[in-house]
Amino acid sequence: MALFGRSKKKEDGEADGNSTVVPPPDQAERGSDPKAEPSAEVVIGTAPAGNYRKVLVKPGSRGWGKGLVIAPQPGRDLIYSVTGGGIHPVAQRIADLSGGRTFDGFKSKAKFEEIACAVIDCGGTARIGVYPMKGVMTVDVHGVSPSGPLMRFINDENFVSGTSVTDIEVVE
Amino acid sequence: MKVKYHTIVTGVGEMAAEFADAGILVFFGPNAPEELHEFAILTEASKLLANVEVGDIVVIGEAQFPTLCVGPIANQNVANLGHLVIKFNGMSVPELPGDISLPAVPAPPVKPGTMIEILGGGV
Repeated sequence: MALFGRSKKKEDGEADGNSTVVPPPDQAERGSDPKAEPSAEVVIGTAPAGNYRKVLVKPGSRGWGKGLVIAPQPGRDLIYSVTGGGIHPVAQRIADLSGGRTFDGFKSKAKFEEIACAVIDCGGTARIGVYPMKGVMTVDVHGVSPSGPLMRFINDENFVSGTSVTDIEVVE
Repeated sequence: MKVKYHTIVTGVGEMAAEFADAGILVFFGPNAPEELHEFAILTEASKLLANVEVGDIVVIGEAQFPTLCVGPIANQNVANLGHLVIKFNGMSVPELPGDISLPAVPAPPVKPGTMIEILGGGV
């Protein structure tokens, strides 16, 4: 019954291998089933839906861009820190405010479609363009402007820079 | 001169040649996430023993180049991530904060096994 306990929390079509199983209509009252309470396994997979908030990540005083709205969703809630020295405080702050989960890109792997945003400490050559090119919203903690060989992929819809922990706020 | 940094190239990403054509060599240590591999030159894990400074010699295989300038975050990139951004642009003021600038000459060939070293001046 754990399937139903989880499926009532899902928006739709979340890929977990069971998503093709459609509960028969006669089980529509499953919400009252005590066995349908959330189980521990939920913690390991996708964070529960409904606990996410949109946050505005603004450029720092010497940064670039107009700001990005980061909106983690079920299955796409990783705040991906590709920075030296572990999870960057900016990534931690975005996660704390948005309900997303921090993830250290130098320690483990994630798929791009699981990433709500990437936080980088790039000096303007490589990482600054790689994540925008891959369609990932990118926050550079250094105040650099679009540059480097991949500059053409960077715009104010996918990139902001110079951000510090005080430049992040909940919008919704 | 003393060795400040020493490593060996382990792999060269498919797109790294395009960066090299633009006079840029982007190195990352072995833990770099996969999406960076195609643009990067990967190296063995190594420690930065002393900060890179103007005048240091950058050794790439058989070739040697003097360091013309060092961006304000270049050293932390190398120390934390094995991330070295070498630009053959002849600039004496860093164009970007992660740069280590060398003379404006073509980038030397780099392949697995190529040795990378930074040698410091002084006694």
